[in-house]
Amino acid sequence: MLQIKDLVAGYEMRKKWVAAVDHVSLNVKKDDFLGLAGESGCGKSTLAFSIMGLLKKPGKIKSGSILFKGKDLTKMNNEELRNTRWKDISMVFQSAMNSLNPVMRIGDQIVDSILAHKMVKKEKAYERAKELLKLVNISPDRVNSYPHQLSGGMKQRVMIAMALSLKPSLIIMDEPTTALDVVVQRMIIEEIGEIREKLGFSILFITHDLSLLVEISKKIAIMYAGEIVEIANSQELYSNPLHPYTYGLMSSFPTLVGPLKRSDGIPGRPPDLSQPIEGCRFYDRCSKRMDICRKRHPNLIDMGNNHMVACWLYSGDKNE
Amino acid sequence: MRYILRKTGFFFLTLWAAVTLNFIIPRLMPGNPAENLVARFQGQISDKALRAIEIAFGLNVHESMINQYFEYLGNTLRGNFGTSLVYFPTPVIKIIDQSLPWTLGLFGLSTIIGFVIGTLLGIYVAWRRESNVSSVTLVSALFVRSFPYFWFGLILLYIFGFMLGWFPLGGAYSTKTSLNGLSYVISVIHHGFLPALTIIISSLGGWLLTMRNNMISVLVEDYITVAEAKGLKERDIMLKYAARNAILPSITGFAMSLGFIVGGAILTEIVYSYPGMGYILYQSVIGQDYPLMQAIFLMISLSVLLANLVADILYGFIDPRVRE
Repeated sequence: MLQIKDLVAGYEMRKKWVAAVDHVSLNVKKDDFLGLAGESGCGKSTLAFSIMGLLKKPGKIKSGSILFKGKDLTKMNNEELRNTRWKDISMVFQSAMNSLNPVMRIGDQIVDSILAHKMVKKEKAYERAKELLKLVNISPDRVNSYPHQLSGGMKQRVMIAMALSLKPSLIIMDEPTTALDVVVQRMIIEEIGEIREKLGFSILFITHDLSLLVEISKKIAIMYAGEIVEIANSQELYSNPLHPYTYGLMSSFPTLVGPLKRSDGIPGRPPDLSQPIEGCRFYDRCSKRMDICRKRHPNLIDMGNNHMVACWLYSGDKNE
Repeated sequence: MRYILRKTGFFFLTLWAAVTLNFIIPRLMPGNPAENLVARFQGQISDKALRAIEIAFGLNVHESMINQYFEYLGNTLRGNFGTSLVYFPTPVIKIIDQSLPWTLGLFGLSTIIGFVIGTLLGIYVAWRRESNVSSVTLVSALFVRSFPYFWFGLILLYIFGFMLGWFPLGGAYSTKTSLNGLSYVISVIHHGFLPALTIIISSLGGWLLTMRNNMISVLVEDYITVAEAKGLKERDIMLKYAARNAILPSITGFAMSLGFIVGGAILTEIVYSYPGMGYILYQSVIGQDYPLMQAIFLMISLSVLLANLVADILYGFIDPRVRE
């Protein structure tokens, strides 16, 4: 359904080009729940914004394509893009606190997204807004509330309700629960799962919280310094992480049972993306680095079982 | 509703304080208006005449302060501000009654027009801030804004009034022939055009810049991105999401300037010899006409307070957050 092919997007500074997303290819199928994980600054939000066509100057899509149901989103004009947004692909943003217009009633904000795409009567749209609120466990008489009268969790629920308003086939969730406390986070994640089962749509779930993804998503893509370094089904990735970076992320979770181990995370920082990098981008931080990793860039290879990884450890021709 | 009541209560409290101050301050000054008048006649006036003048002016200096205060309150409520000295023996209220409509009409209207045009331009300039039209508009606004407005008024008067003769050099309407109906209205517009233009042009730049700056800080807010992601029409994002939030700080400034309309734009009125409040305020200061001055100051306080009350109530409608 959504096919991202060889996408290059980033930020054009005065003389520098920062490649936040570098030759990324990714597929989201119908009813998929794809998780995209990576640390801050790895380009995951830039990828999300590219899909929505929301990348603002100095942000720019340089090459590649984003096909949605066969149409290239990067080549659409403003009006086509406006029609696609929300109706086909909607998005839930990270900052629940600031995503709602503070001077409009939440009902009106849900209604205007409906009216922007559909020729329905206002009363019908309000009925729909109430239904949507009920769906995310908010009392329907809250349609007349203003954002400041809601808690953070409720605001994010309203955003989810809004994202569902036109029954899109794909919802991008960009760290939707990051700004919330753990208990509310858990409740909202569960609700998202239930609603997805009820209505059926695909989710591209972006987070830095890999432990959360393992639990909820079907498939996970790991992003590092603008590139996808590993993709696999969640269970497969959890039990058999191949890339040293994934491995490092996995071992930085605290265990639920047993003695607490001191976790050091992954030492070092991601590389500067405004400079061209010849070899593997993880080289400086990798515990298993080899000579070839510095010289040549590893490509994604299929390890079978729908498991892809970009690392020289698994490539046969390392002596080449 | 409770919000409006609270604001109205506060309005009356402040108004009372302003009226009282207006009573106290002139009495802290040495002498009284009657004595000033006497001084003007250089002592060639008898004690009896002085008493008569004091009575005519409603100066009850021989009573206790408390009595004076209550009498003053009563008179103020009834609109009895005494007699003007400069325009003796016209009652103050009559002078104000003649000047106020001109000021309200000319300055009220041009302040509102200036605000509306300036704010709309500000929205546009911020929304299309990459375009050339925006840059040109912005630079011209900055340029015009830095003119002293009375100087700008003089230039307009010189070019269009004196050199080209398109507009009259002063006054509010033609005194030549008996005007009626339509020709009177045309004459008023003809006389008011240049002063109005002066005020509109010189106030517009400020509103434009304020609105542009507010817009730019609102445009980076997340709810603007969300509105765009929702696929709303550009116009809706610009007005309902961006401008609606950006206009809030401008409203207060607008209310303040509405309040000061009553004081008139003294310099503009003098440049155009316009018979408004600014002009009589100037006359009253020159002629040490305390009753008139006092009444004008009271009018100004009243209108500033009233404008603030209106702004508060308006704010409550636009921004739900202040209601609680």
